Parts: sequence; structure tokens; C-alpha cells
Amino acid sequence: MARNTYDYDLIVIGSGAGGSVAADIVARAGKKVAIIEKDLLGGECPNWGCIPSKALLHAANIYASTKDSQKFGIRIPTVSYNYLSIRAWKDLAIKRTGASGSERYYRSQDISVFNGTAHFLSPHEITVNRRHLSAAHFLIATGSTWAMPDVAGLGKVQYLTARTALDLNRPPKSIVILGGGTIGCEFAEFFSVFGAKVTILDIAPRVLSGEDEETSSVVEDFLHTKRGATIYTKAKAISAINDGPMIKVTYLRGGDQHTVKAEKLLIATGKTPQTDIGLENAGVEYSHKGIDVDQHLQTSASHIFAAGDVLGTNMYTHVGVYESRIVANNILHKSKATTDYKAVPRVTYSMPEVASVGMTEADCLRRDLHIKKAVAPLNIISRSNVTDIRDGFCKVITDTSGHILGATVVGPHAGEMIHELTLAIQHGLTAQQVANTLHAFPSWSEIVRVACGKIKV
Amino acid sequence: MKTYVVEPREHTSVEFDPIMLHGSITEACLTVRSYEGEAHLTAQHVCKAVIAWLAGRTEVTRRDIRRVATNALTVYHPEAAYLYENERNII
Repeated sequence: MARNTYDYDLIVIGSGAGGSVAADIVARAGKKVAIIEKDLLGGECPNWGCIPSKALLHAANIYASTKDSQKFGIRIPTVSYNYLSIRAWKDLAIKRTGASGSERYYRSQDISVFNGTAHFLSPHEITVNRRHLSAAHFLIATGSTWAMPDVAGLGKVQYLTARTALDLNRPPKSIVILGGGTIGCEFAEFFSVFGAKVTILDIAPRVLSGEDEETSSVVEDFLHTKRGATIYTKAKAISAINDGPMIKVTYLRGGDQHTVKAEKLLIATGKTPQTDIGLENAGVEYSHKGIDVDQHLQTSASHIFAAGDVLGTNMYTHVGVYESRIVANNILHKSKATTDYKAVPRVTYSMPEVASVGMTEADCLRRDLHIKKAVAPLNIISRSNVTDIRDGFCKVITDTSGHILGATVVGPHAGEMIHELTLAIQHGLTAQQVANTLHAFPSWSEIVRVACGKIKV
Repeated sequence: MKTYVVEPREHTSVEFDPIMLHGSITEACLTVRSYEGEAHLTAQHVCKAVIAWLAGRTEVTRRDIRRVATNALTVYHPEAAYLYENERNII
């Protein structure tokens, strides 16, 4: 594949989900591969993303449900926690992923590992720590970084990001979270369980604004009534200053200026692709939204591919892995694989858990699609009765012939239940076909059957 | 950490020289009739932005420097930025 003049067949920039899978597959096919990582091997997800945050949320859920167990006749005189031990649990979860030991694995697969920042010098050449490496193909999987909102004085206050918030020595007494998306809601849930007074400031009209309205309203209601969080939507933060030991955040809402003080400030306003690696020198076209690719994940330079968060579209680990596999196939084989994003599951591990797949109702309206929809509240199924968990629902959206276009599940284990609907969308099943499938009684999945059964064609 | 400016075609590299950059930015500003003091001040700001961008990078190309400097200069002096970006194409 590679001409003799190149050092490698493939150089992968970034060792996260978008990069590591392709490196592994291509190396197994006998090609010469190098992987470059500027931070920790494994990238964001195992080191400072999904894994540590979900480990912390798991501890928070246990703490919250233990405190709430009296109604089931369980008496626990005092429920307390040791935050440093919770952190140690999170560190153990990270260690178990094996990301830190992946260098040994890569070397066993004959993959060269370079630690440093990669920068393109020309279309086939990059520099890492002043070492020039050339390759026949490149895969850019540099991921994304936290987007900083335009807030005056932000540089002068010690704010937290979703990465630094994982390593606090104790939960803050109060915290302002800028952004009510997935990350903002998950941290709001986590800190509020441990007693923090949480204030969410979101510029959008509702939290989780990418999801259906019903979802936002359940999550907002839960955070407010059960966790005591204060949520200000349509609120634009304009400045942040130190005020003694506190941080004072000024925001605009409804044309008026307001302030809120808290011990900590967390920035969770989204992520932006990391494209500053000299792409101009390689002839790769990109914008602030991410690298432009075709359906084969090829960039404007045909020998350079991109996958994962750097594309700026579906910033999920599972999508990164999926794209990485496609890139590996397209490098190794002449028959090109193409991407298909019609059934990408999205999960917010808040309480209640939120999971969705396919199109939302708003997406359908934007496309002028004629749809049918059905919503089944969680409290009508038996599992809800026996566990006393009432908040949640399942919503199914179909076309006029009953084929499922999108679905949302809000409730316990929603992240597991959504895969039934993901499969249905991926393979063009109708709601009736899902409703006619046996669902165990009494399971949470019954809610999917009930919602699908409500769709009448 | 030192940063080197690479010329990929010639396989040569030289250490990044902020004084040289300062000089060329000043020159671009003076060409579009900036006051001398203003030109030096603008060049200072642009150099600062470029040096901040270079932090953590060991090697970049001349084109990278020109691109980053142009972006920074556009904020202070769009005309000078245009001239700086296109000086090789302007006869």
C-alpha cells in the first residue's frame, strides 16, 4: 500500500475512540501504523469523560437511593459519605479501563506510539517533538475541547471544566453551571445529591434543548423539586468576577441584569473540535464546526481521513468507534463503507436517565414530515409501581406507515432500553412490530411496548 | 521551549525570530500609512498572539506563522492584514 518513501502506512493522530480502533484494525492487517497522543492514552472517554463521570454518578445514585429507602421499610440511622473515597472509586474505574496500559498493548501490536503534539508540515508529513514522520494515510482523531463562552472576566476566575470538576477534594457548597446540556445536567445531578446548591444558567429556552420538550420538562422538574436546583433558562452569562471566596456571575434574563454567587463555577457550554494541527499545510478543509468529510470519512485531501469528535457532528464515543471502523475499512479495502447516522443513540445519565435515538419531533417538523406520535407515561407499568419510581415516559415517533423515525425513553435504565428502538430504526421496523414482540412482565421495557402499541396506522 | 520554523520542501528549519515578525508586521502597517508608534504597538500585539499560539509547538511552517499573524493583525488593522497576507501576490 505505502510507497517505500513513507515511514508508515497509517499515522493516527489521537488515541481516543476515533483513532485507536482504526489503528488496531489496520495494524492487525499487517500494515505499519503509528499513533500520536498529546495527552493521556485512550483520550477523553476513559480518562476524563464518560467513565469517571459515570463512576461518580453511580456513587451519587447509591447515596441518593439509600437516603430515600425509608419508604420501603429500610432504616439506616445515618447515611454519610467520604468524598475522597468516592474519588478513589472513580480512579479505580478509570484504571480498570486499561487505557493507561494501552501503550504496552500498542507495542505488542507493532504500533509505534509517540507522545507529543502533531502538526502537519505537508500533506504526507507531520512533526512530533521535532521528529518528522511521513505516511501514506492519516487519520485525524484529535477530538474536541471545552468551548469557552464569551463571558467577561472568565480568565480571571478559577472556573471548572468537566475535566477539573472530577478531581475536587469535596463537593462545593454551591455551584453555578453555565450550560444545561448533557454535561451540565449530569453534574447538576451529581453535585446536588451531595448537598451543593446548584444553579444552572442556560441560554437555551430549556435544558437538554436538543431533546423533545417533554424530556426537558421532566428533567427540569426533577432537578428543581427533588434536588433543589435552580434553573434559569434564556439566561446569558455576561461576566464573572471573584467576590471574596465566591464567584459572582452576572447574567441577562428577560432584559434584566441579575447576579448569582457561588463557591464554584462550572463551564459546560459544549465542545469545539480540535482542528489546530496545521491542516492548511495538508490541504484539509475545515471550519469552526469541524473537519469537512464525505460519506467515506475522507477529507478534502483524499489520503487523510477524520473520525470522532473532530467532525463536530455526533460527539459520542460509540460514534467515534463506529467511524474509526469505517476508516479502517476504507483504508484497507477497495469497496468503501459509508456512514449512516439515522440511528445514533444519545444518553444523558441524569436522574431520571434520558435516552433518545433518531429524529426528535422538532427534527421532523423542520423536515415537513407527516408523523404519528405516542407517549406512554412510566407510571402506568407495573415496574414503576413496585419500585415507586414515577418520573419518566416513552415517546415514539413514526411516519404515516408506522415505521419508527425517532424515540425517547426517560426513566431508569433508559440507556439500555433505547437499544431496542435503535435496532427498530436501523432495520426499518414498524411500531406495530415492536408492540407485537413479547416484553417480560414486570420489566421497564414494557413501556416501549405500550408506547409502540399506541401508534395506530 | 524553542519553536522552529520549517521549510518542508528544502528540509531546513530556523529558530522562530519574533523580531523578524515584528519588523514585517510593522512594515505592513507603515505601508498602509499607520503612524509609526501605532505600527509598533500593533506589531507588539500580533507578536504576543503568535508567541501564545506557538506555546507547546516545536515546529511550524512559515505559512502557519503568516496565517496566525494575519488573523491577529485583522483585529487591529484589516488593511495591513490584507497586505501582509497577500504581499507576495501584489506587484
